[in-house]
Amino acid sequence: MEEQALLDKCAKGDVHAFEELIAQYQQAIINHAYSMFLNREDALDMAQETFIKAFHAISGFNRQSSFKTWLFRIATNVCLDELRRRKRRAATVSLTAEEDGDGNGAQIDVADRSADPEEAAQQAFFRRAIETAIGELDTEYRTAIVLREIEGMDYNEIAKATGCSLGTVKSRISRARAQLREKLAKYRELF
Amino acid sequence: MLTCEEVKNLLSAYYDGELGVAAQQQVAEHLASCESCREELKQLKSLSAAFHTLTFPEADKAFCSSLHERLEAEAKKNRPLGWRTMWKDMRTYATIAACLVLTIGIYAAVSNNSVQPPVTGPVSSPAAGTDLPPSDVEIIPAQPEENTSIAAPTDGATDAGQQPSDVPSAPKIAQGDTGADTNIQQEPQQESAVPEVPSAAQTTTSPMPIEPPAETTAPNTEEPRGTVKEVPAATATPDVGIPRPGANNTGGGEPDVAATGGGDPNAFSVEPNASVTTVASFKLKDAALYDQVVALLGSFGSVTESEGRIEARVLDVNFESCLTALRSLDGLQETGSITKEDDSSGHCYIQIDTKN
Repeated sequence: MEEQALLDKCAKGDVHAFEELIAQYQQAIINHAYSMFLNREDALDMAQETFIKAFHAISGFNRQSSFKTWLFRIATNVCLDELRRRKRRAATVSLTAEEDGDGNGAQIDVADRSADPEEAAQQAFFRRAIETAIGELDTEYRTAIVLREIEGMDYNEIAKATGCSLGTVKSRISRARAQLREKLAKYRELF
Repeated sequence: MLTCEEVKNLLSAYYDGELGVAAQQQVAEHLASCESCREELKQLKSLSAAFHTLTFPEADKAFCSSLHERLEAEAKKNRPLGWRTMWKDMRTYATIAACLVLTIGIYAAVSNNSVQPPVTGPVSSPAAGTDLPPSDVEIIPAQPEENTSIAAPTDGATDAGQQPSDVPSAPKIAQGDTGADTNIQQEPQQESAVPEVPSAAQTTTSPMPIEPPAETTAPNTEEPRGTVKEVPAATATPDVGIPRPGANNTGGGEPDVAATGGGDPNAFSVEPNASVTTVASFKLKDAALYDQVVALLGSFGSVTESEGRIEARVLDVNFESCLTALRSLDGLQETGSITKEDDSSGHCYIQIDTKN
């Protein structure tokens, strides 16, 4: 069903219409939340909170912006509120890739595409380096670069979704890339 | 021609295609002749490719079923348009019921007094039809100002045509100077006289912690909250006399024979009682809660929305319950409360700061 028709139904409290509407954004919202928490459980919790808040507020959505950016805006706010509430900095991705009881640890997995043992080892090493480097970025930088690289959002969309200016988005993405390159400098030969 | 330093600063946006046409071309021209900058671009591409090797957690069945259950519960709790319609209807019914109760009360009071000898002194209702048999008591709705409306939900379900004249307004709580109180044609903005009548509609923009896309402001994204919602608490019942029509013409007091026995032309049924009242303050941290907060306050008392603020007036007996409910909301921060001597007639106030 067309998005506008779904929005009309959602405004009347139609749960099924809402679920159909968010289906195409569900994974993207989880990815967005994950980029901020680096934790699977937190990402799923925040994604769920985002959808609940969006459902509650959808009757007030005036459709002057796209539903996607509106939804991402809510997700950003939900995640930032939670981060503030926990009063902690973004977790560093652990090299062990194991999740401890508090949910801290590396959760980013990288697809292993090689059957060759040596190549597989190199790729695993490379993966860990990427994971660590991304995890060490500041939350704002990490959010911006993940929305750009993973969700493919343009700078305008990222600005609306994160509530910052276009110039800030450009700056954050540029700096995120520069920081990642610095951190991965020693692995440059693998690029 | 751009320098390498300038190109390297633009390279990230160039790679993403976010430069203007002229800048994009200038960078391209530089790259054509600069191997160092081409190498930088190559590294950007490799880094970008690395992101696409990452995988992220996916929603499982437990996630989906849990979400569905919560959405169903939310739908039952907050039926957006239906809820507003229901509240609007309930307010109308409550108003009619209150008027009927008052009419019956006045009739009974007047009937009791009608067995007494005629009162010639202080009871002055010279205007025709003002020494009233109860059947002449007429409730004339307050005439709001042009820019006011009563309880028009933001969905626009109520238009300006549906004004208080179609619906009996809540009876005024008469206090003090009858010159102000008796003119029921008057815009009921006087706090002391008509606390229950909706004030002028005020347009607010929905608050959000982060400004929404440029077209709007909301958790953005909500449409302007243009009207004042008047959601009287179910427990609120007026217990005072109704100003009688025609009393304006007297230019003077509007006696309420029932209450005062005709002794004081300036008195109405209920003497104001000095009391203390509490004003609790909150700050809305999560603008997505705006609707929920308004709905919550509306279930306890009357709500007024204005730019950057939500105000609610609740009965003393409901105050603590209302505070408890508000405190349970994440995203709403209690900022304090003050207690003051005030003629509040048994009400307390809650203020929600909705500014960023």
